[in-house]
Amino acid sequence: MEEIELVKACKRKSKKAQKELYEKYQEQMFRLCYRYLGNVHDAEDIVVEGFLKIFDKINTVEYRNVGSFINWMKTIMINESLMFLRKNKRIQFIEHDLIIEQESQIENSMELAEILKLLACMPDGYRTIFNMYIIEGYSHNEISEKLEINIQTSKSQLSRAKKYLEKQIKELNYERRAV
Amino acid sequence: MNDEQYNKLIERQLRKNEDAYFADIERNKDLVWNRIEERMEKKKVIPLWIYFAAASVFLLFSIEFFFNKKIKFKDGEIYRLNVQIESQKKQIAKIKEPSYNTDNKQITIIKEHEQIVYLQKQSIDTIVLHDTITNLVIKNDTVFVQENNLEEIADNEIIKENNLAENKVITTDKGLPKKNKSRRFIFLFGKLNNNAQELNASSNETQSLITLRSK
Repeated sequence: MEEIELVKACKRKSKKAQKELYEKYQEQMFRLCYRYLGNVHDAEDIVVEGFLKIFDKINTVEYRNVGSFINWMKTIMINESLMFLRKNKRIQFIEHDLIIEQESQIENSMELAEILKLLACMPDGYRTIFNMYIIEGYSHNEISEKLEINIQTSKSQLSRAKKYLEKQIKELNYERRAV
Repeated sequence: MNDEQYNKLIERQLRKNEDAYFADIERNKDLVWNRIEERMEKKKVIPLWIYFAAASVFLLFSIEFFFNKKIKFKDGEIYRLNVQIESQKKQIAKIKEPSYNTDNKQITIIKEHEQIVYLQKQSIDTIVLHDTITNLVIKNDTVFVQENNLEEIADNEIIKENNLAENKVITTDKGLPKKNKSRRFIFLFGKLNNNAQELNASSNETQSLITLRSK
């Protein structure tokens, strides 16, 4: 079924279409949620909530093209993840007046799994902004609006996240060399 | 490596080999879908408390409707009674309101006196002089009629022309308005069967035998 047909069928509350839509985008959405939450169980919970919301609000969305529809779903998932983090008071942004703009060093040869592991271990505040800025491509302005923080906080959090990641990578490399 | 390069690198790294890392997601795929389905079913099934709530609301509205009807009926009754009370109050006020009709009447009473005057006997024949005195009495009656009990209160007032010393005051009657009544007083001196012979026998005496007749 073509995506536009799929969306139309979902609007008619067709169970088959809903399942098809879920199967098509489940992995992508799960990855997205996992990046924000750093935890498989929480990510699964948010996927459930997110898809329920998608099926509930699908009538309000106007299908333009594949990209716009996916973006709409992603926005729902991100919002759900942020809500979850806020609800569980996992995000705590500390105001940093100094933004460190230094050149970062990172190993190109790094395994993705390792990076993801490091991301998962990152404090929630750092991870959220890191995800939103680096992966999703939100601007600091957008991040500050979404998270109700000021732009400087967003920038400093990102800088700290990068430093943190760099430090972790360095440690990982050091351990690897030692082995 | 500058900031932009760093960002790109991380993004590229994350997107490149994600599938490998999330291979186990496939295993949970169906479980997650079951959870979604279950939640959707739960949404569809209306919980029992909603039925109770709906029934309660319906019952509440029914009771309200019933009592409203009753209140309206009672209000109507109260209004009707109020109207009745008002009309009765008006009637009472009308009854209580003093209402007098003054009617002045002039009654003329003519009183006639018949007097026998004794004269000293100067001659053999006794002269009996019959004199009729007419006395004019004007009587003003003021009649008050009270409407509530429809009683007639009559108050008679007598204006008398006191022409003669011998006239007596006529009594006042407080009954119904009186009709003209003519009274006749006859003063008879001597015996009833008066005749000259008898008078002759006691000619030097004045006998004060008086008979009063009234009509």
